[in-house]
Amino acid sequence: MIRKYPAPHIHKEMNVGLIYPRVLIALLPCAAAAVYYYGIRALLLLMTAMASYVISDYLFIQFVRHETYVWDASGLVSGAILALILPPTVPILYLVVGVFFASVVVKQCFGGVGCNIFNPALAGRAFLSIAFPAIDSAYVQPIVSRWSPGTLLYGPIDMVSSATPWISQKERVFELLSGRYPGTVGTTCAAAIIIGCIYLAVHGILRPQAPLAYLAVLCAGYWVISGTQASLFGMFYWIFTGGILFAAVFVMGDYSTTPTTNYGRILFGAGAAVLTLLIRNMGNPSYAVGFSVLAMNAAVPILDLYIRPKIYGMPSWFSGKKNKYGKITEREGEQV
Amino acid sequence: MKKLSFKKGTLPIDGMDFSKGRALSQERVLEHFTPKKVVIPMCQSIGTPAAPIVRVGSVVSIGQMIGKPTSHISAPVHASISGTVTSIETIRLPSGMDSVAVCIQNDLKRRLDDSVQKRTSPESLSPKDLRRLLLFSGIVGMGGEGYPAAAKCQRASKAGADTLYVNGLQSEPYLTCDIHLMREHADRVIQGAIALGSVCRVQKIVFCLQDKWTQEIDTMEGAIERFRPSYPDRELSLLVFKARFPQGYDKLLIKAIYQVELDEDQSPEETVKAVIFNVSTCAAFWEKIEKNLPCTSRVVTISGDSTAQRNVLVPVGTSVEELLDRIPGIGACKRIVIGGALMGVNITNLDTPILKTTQGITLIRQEDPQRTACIHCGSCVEACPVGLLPYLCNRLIKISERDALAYESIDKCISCGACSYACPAGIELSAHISIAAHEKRKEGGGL
Repeated sequence: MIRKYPAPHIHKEMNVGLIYPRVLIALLPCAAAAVYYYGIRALLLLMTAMASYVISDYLFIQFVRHETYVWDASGLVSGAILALILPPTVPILYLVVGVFFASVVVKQCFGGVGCNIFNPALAGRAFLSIAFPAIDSAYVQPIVSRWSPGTLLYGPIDMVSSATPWISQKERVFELLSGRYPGTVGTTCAAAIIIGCIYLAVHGILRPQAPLAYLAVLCAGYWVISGTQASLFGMFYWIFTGGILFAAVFVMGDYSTTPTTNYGRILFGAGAAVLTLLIRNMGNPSYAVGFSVLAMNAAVPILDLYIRPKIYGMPSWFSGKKNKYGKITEREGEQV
Repeated sequence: MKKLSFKKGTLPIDGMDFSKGRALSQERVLEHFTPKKVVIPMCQSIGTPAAPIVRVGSVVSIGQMIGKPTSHISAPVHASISGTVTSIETIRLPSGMDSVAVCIQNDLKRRLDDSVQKRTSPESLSPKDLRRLLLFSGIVGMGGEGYPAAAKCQRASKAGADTLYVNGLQSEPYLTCDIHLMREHADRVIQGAIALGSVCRVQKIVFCLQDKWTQEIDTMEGAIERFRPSYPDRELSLLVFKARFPQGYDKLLIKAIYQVELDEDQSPEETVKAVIFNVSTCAAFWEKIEKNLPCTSRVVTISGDSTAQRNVLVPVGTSVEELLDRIPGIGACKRIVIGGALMGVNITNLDTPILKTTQGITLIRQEDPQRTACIHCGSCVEACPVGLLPYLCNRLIKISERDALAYESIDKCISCGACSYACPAGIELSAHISIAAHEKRKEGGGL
């Protein structure tokens, strides 16, 4: 007993080595649905994205930052999310470019795990949408030709002409829950997302404030926008399509890119929902979720600084800027 | 019954079994632990240390005063065993302070000092007599605070306090010495509290307990009912709090009861007219009243994640090594902690003596988790009972950004360790922030 340890001497069982693998497990139902709908193509996309994400993380840390690479599963999580939010027809080369952008530019250049401002997977997706706009108009029917080896090379055939798959659906409950309609690889199956969400919530990893605020404001927005045509089914249709549910659970549950306080999280979710409503109604609906969340990501440092818990013994309006010591230093400055 | 609490803090969930003390009924209490020698430091309370009044070679007996108070805020020190003074030396206490200490070799005769004798009618003492007894009892805040009880009572009566809270909210995991006292010796605690109440000129006496100790709540309620007829002019009551760490901290106690937040220079006596005493302090005062025995021993919990739980009555000044050697069933442990597992001090020198303020010894086997980068998850923000942003403070300390740090009210940190406990990345948040907070308080005090 030579080293003296600082207090406290016991720790919560939850640690980083458990959080990311559990998120991966929560993504499993979505991945299973993806493989069911798009076969080997989905498998290929997932494997490539995860492998290339970890490799590019490793290379950057080892050879650019000259630090030792510490393994955690965060790279696998980001890679898997990126693969799941892309259309199944995306060329593998594009995917690798997107992964590289997400890993190196968005995450490692800002300081690695926990320091990134933007969600790597969403930023990678946005980058691909802007750099290669063609991928966004190439959605295919699920289940058709899922096991033919040709899809590995050229991607699934049977393209749907519609650019906005969330609009082109008939209103049917089963399709809504199972996600059997043209869309992204893994975000259409609402049931799988809800299973993952329950898993995360049971293990205390998902912080519910941001997702709940996001969904609540979106639902409220639906009733306002639809007016007299609003219906309960319409509301579920509104929030179960377009990747909203997936973003609410797996993107707003991400720790690094959401605020740390409860009120901050609520504001984050509500702000993202307002932006989503705006973009859905006035802009390009297929960009609605991704870009609104990215925009709110940029606001997180400000939300963290100004939305604070009340400090003990300080008035409640106190946000950390007017401190009694701050005043003393000012006075001292005058004297000098 | 309405349960009171402050907001936030660590909830008693996973990994930390707050209710481990449930096995308490099977545990043995060693009433007569006799160490071979004791080292009694003169500095066991806040304020000036006592001055030794014995010389090397003096023969002392249990309860004899060996250090006399040197100022208004100071407590006398008494011999806890009978024997011969072998040396007077300077030792280092777990808090990092140096103190003069008297070493006494035990003659194993258990001779009591002449003044120690049973009082025939302890209830009939006047407040003036009680005050004199308290002054010479050497009792200090035994919950770890270490404020001399006599000085606190004087402060309370000067401020015109109207309520006395008996703090039985031992919220640290593994520590159960106060809980044990309330279950086994509820009468002593209540009578001691009533006596302290008369010294402070307080009519209302409130006992504070956590909701998980249901058995102790029943015991205390029964005992209060029994004492109500004999003290008709006192209002005795019980308050139940939610089990949550760090509920026992006196500022958070005041916040839970009064919704008032105390500044550093405000005392609870003046602001809300409340005075807080620990359960052990009350029990020790009753010991003094009943047997005229000053504060020479205390109940110490020996527990941890590797051993069974024990409460032992230990003479003040016993070294940790001797105590652990003589207790059977202590398994191998990685570190020995004086105090609780969350706020205690890890000691490497086993000669450290047990003080009047030592609540327990916690033996830890668990290793620190692997340290990784901060993932910005906000667990520390949820855990902090005073509303700081520990992850941000730690980041600012790491890059030594002093200007930005000046705006984070870091001096409010109470070093409770809840942030480090909750951190999934194993970052020593509490340790870093406590040091910075200490520095800032020093600077603030100087200006």
